[in-house]
Amino acid sequence: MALLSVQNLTKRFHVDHPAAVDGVSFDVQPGEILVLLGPSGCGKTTVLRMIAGFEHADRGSVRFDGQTLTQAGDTPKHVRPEHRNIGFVFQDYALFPHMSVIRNVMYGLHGKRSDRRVRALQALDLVGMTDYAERRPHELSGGQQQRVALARSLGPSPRLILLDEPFSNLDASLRENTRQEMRKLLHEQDMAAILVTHDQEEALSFADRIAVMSAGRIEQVGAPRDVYEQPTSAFAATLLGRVNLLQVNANGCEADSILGRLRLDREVHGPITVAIRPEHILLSDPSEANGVHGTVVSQDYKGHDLTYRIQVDEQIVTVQSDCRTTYPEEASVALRVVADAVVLPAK
Amino acid sequence: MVAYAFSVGGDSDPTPLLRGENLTRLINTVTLAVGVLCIVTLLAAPMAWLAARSNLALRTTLSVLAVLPLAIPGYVMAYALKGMGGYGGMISAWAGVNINTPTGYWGALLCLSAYNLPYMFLTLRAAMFSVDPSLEEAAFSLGRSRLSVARNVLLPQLLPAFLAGSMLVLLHVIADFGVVSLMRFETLSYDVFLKLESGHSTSRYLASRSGLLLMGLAAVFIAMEMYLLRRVRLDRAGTGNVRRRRIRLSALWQTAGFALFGVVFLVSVITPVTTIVYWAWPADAIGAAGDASFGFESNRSLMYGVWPALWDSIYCSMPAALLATGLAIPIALLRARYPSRRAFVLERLPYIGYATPALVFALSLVLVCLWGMPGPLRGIGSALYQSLSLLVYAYAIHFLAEAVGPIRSGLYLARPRLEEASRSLGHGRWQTFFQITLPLMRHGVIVSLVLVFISCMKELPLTMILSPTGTQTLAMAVWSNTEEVLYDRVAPYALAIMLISSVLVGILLMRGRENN
Repeated sequence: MALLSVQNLTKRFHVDHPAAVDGVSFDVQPGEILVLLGPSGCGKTTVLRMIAGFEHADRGSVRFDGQTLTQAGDTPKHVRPEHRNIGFVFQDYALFPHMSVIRNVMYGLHGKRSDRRVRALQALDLVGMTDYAERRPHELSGGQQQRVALARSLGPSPRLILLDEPFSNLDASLRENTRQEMRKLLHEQDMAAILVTHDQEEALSFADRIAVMSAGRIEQVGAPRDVYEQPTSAFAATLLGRVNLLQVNANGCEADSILGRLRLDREVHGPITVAIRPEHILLSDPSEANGVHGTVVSQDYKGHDLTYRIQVDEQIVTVQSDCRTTYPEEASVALRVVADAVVLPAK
Repeated sequence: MVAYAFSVGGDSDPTPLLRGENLTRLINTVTLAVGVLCIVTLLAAPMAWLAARSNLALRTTLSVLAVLPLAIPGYVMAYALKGMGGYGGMISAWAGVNINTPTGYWGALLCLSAYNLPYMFLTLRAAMFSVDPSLEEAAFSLGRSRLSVARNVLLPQLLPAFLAGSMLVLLHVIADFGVVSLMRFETLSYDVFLKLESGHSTSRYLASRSGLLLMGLAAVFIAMEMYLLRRVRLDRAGTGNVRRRRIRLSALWQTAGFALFGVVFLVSVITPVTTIVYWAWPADAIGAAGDASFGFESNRSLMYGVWPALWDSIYCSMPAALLATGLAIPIALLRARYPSRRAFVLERLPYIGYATPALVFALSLVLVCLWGMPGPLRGIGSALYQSLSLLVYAYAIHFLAEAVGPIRSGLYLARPRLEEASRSLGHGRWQTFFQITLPLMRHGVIVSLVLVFISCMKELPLTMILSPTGTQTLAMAVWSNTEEVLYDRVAPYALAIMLISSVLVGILLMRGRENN
């Protein structure tokens, strides 16, 4: 049975604005990490805040651990945030500036003082921050504050923890490590988590499952690899990385396009849109290969790889390639698609 | 009060509101207010510019000195001016000549300008600090001259601050009672007091008419400010850091700057303090004012007189400070956490109390107690009249605006995220308030308490009219003894007021620095 079940959750902040969250439904299994991925303003943080109980829902329900926490409608129910036993890590960490690190963690624990202290130290030990127990939050670096915030949320041992862009205030170099550590820790504690982010790389590497959100709705839910390789909409495809969207005329499992004859991932007929990731196109010298030819318009060197923009007929195609052979601007290249093109459903 | 002014007046006295003496008083009030505003602006604007935008040496110290007159209420300044000149005054004792220090319009103008200068200085200085210099640099780079930049870029940005400062000054002047009464300059508020003191119901009615005029004047000033500010929008569009750049002054201008601050300090602080200390000094006071008509007492017994007055001041002001702060916390919280139109209006309400001239406010409370209560409640009304609780209530409402400001800035530290974090850690609303919100905003709470306390302690008209019989606060003692030309008796009370205000403000400044 699902640990958390969100049904048809809806929230409207202003009467004459569109709903910020519009009929969102999903489940989270015990110990699972779900990532809500979407551009800023898509309502993903509002979903999180409704699960935590900071916002009231206009419609829908939240069930957690066999209990109804939120139920909008004729018999409304709203369990207060302090009675939900769900952890929350804020984007800016929200550490209490007038308390030391250990007192911040103890604040979420109940029972005898000495007992709370022991448990708080255990929580700090999980994140490797016991040495800093007596420091004040402002004496810590961003990464350390983030660990304390995590320890504080882990302290009461909730079965679900909500993470609101917790890595966005960290340096790029620190971000990747912290992410891996936190993911490991959550799995070790068998704790379920919902992470909200707009960073596709973060979503892909952190999630057990990704839910792609757009304009208050969930567009697609699935394992990172599935969502990346089999996007069900142009929006989901572009959100998770660069993609070439081509208008083609399908005829069964094949279609003709400016990149030549493509294999499709399923059988379909008529004019459709397909998605091809830039790394699924190979470049070669035009003299050695026949097929479709194009002209390099620009190249973007990024160290580990190179992104070309190549003009084919009237259209620009993005191609990702390794740096072993490079093609200068205005060079002529041959293009070959090496994977099935993904058929996107018509709107 | 409106009801009273018209219901009683309807049948007995049909004198139009604006005729004869009332008109003279109205003109007096307006000329005094405008005169003070002109002087204050002419002095405060260059001072603020020097402090905020130039490289004047010692500018921080000079700024602190320029704010010191805040500790010297207008009526103390008036007392000092009177005690300085004339027969038996400080100047005649030291220099042997009788110089008549100004009274009437010029005396009131001098005292009120000295007292109000810091308000304008602080407002303009803060504004000049916050004006983005890159806007001026952009104008220079577009080939504009210095004068054109000052007129088209700098001045428009200072307008809201100037208007806010003007509003403070104008409202202070028209509401002032201590200075104009001691300087014998008949303004509306002085008139309200005189009529009210005489105690007749007819004169009470006349007082309420003058009071109405006074309120009308305040309303006109506020309306003018709102009209002038109607389309001003000065947000910084775009991001980036505000960079500071100071203009280098030549030696000549440095000297001129020092002279400006020096003269202001000499007039508004050194002179009154010297006079007061002179009168408090037994030997000199006895030597010069040993005239039998002054009926001096030994200095020791004078000092003893301070303690009961000090106690009365604390006894009335302390509960008012607590009440005002207690009311300000929910108001500020409501506005910050549940922003709505209603909460916005609620937060503005205290400013109406602040803008209402104190005498008018006192008058209306008197009328409500003695006349406005419906039949069965009449007993409660007269019981409230001149009770401590009414005085505390009046203080608290009048100075509520002073309490809301610091608490609101204190709330910026207690971000809503922190409260949500506390809730998600299993603590309820009240627990969160007492363990998270309140400790975080405690500095704002302390500032509110101290500001309201100082204001109540210095407050004269509300105290004179509403205080329980037999109470004599420090402010009342200064005023009544000056009225009776007992200058040597005034000195200890005046000193006590100045000392307490400056020590309390000093403590706030030190705490503020620690917190930063």
